[in-house]
Amino acid sequence: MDKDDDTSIFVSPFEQEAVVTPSIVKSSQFVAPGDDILSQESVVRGHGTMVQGTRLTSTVAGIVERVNKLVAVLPIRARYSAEVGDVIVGRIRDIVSRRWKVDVNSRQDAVLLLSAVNLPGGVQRRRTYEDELKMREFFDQDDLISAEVQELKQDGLIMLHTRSLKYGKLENGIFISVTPQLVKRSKKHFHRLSCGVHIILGDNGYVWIYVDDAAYGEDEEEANFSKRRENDKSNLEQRLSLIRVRNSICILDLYFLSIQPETIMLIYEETIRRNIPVQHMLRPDIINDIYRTVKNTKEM
Amino acid sequence: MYAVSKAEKAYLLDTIETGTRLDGRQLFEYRPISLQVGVLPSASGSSRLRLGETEVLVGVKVEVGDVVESSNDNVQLLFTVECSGSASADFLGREAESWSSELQNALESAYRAANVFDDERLSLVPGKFCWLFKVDILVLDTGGNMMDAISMATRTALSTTLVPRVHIVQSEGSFELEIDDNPDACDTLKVEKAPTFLTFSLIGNHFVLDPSIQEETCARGKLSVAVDANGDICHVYSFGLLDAVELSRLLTIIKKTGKVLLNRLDECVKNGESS
Repeated sequence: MDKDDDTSIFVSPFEQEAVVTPSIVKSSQFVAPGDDILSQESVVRGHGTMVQGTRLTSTVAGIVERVNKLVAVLPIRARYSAEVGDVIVGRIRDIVSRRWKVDVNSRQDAVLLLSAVNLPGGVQRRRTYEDELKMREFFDQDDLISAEVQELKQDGLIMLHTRSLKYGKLENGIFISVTPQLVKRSKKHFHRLSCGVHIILGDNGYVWIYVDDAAYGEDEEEANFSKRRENDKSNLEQRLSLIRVRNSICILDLYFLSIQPETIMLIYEETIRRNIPVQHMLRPDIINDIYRTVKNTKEM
Repeated sequence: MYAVSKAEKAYLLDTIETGTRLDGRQLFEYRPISLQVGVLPSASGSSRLRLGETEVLVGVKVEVGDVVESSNDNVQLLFTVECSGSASADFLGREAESWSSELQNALESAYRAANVFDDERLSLVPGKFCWLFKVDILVLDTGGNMMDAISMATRTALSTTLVPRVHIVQSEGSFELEIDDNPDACDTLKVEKAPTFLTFSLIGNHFVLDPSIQEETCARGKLSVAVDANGDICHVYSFGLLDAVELSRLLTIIKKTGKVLLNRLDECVKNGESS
């Protein structure tokens, strides 16, 4: 099974899950809203299902998931549903008393408590009233952050934390939003692609493509920030490869293909091999061509 | 409201400074356009156009109406823009009204200035009856640059509109209109003079054509120019402080792009393909 997994990175994330989790019936059945779900007499009705008379029907388009007696339908396209430990990219929507409201592409906004962030300088202490007044200096409205899901409340409220150096405000990069189901939960969400571009694949379908500041050496101070930006400006090549990565992810999203570093690089390298300039990458005829070749390489 | 963080905006500005955009386009390049015509069987002419994420649906209804204000126009155009609440959070509540009236007014003035339907065949009874073209525009999705998408879709919908042939019967001083018995006896409209908007956003010190919603959010000015198939400018709509020197440079670009774009659109409709 594992070998199979390695060669075919283009199976949908659901099929992969079906392989990974033994309790789910492998021959996954695709249903549309209103379709009958074939089942034995006594089943427990799960999410995405409805009882109509004696029949059990689906309420969403998705794949039937069976765990013992529980029958549910996993929707193909849906908003992000959080799980504890997920790495997400979010956007600050609002600042209210002692907490930030964060848009995470979910049914409701997530909450980031003031006590769940690292204070600048890394000091560990109780948050004071002064800290509360300075909240906008940490994260302002519309800022993008990376964070981790710390807790899910009974009513589905998502609590976030950024209590690690790798989480925090996102700068110097491009943001795009993709279908959340295409990003697979994995051990690693911060990737360095072989083209030198860094990406954060948020479990919630928000993706941040960026240049790693650490690459400039750690001895550089805040004062050099403007100079560094000057350097960046001349570095057109780096910008273009960021954009190429962005467009590669767009292509994967358009064709509903799993988004992981391997698949992104496959598209990226294919466009380089064909000498396609970044501005032509999203043209429908070219996307189609790339898709066909990439699909073929997988099947070989 | 579409949100952009300060860091994103800074990166966007710096990238545009180097002559590229965040989706890889050049400064004066359109996003891919896909076009469908004849999507509404009950309308006299219709089209559905996608420009990047922006999607609009246009239907044209042809009626005979009474002439108002003793004008001698053969054709009266009536635009209605409806911004679907599901397209964007901006369209919820009263915001939708201001959006639609802005777009409606821009289209109306552009078409009025262009004097599009100066066509002999469309003449009914001057001063008494005229054609009434009701153009209904529905915004299905927003991804920036609605103005261009709407005007292009309107133009293609009008170009596929079929106007029934009508005979005028005069009896005892009053006029009666008879529609030709043959249902296939229809005229198509000439739309060479129908304008379409080319919209630029001023970001930093650069103008960019066909702004995405992100670019629109970061822009400090906007310029929409209506051109016809000859590249002649018939209406200008602007917002924010724009530099006059830049404008003269844009003029040549506008004329060239407008011509190419409109010819390509007409070709697509004729050949039944999409681009």
